Amino acid sequence: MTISKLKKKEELKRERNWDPRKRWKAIQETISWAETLAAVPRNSREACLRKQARLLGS
Amino acid sequence: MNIDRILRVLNHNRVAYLLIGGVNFLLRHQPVLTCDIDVWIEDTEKNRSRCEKALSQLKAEWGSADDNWVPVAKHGPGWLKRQAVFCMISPHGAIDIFRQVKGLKDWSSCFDRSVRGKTGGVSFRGLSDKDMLKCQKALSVSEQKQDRIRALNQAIKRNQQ
Repeated sequence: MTISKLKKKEELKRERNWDPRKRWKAIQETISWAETLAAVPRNSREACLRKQARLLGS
Repeated sequence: MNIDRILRVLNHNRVAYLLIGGVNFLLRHQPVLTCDIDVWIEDTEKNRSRCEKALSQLKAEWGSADDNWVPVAKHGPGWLKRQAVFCMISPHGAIDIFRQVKGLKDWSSCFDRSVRGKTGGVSFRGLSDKDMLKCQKALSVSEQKQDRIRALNQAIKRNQQ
């Protein structure tokens, strides 16, 4: 089995064994953690301009 | 997901690892939604054993099938040798352990090129931008993340200037 196929199979197995509430909590915690990182400026001028340029296709 | 805690336990157990995937990209470039932490370990018996110990301490759970999904501490020593990739859950978040990574051949060379980082006071080594790009390009087009490829290409170009 290729690594890609094994990874997909493993992900599906984990999903079946992961309590949906706990999974949602993990996603929320990850977002909160990312928000605390000064190195990941989601709301910075640079990030906004980068996104805008991408959307405008330049 | 308590990424700092997961990295701290890996470091404490002296696991030789590289942070790869979405969290590595997020820490160095821009936010992406990810619900697991991807770790590529050096594939030696000693290191796998250290990693098994760390995962037990993190109370990770995994099973080779749904009917034997249990805390990893219940699997006998050497269980990480069973396959190339493991997707598990833990109270600190989902953890993916890779013994092999598609598109990358040699862990040691990638480690030499890796980038030092710090999150929440915890040090880690993350896969370099060039190696992250190699991983993306090794995937099928439908699996590739075009946003990441674009950001990585831009970062590599910036660093060359």
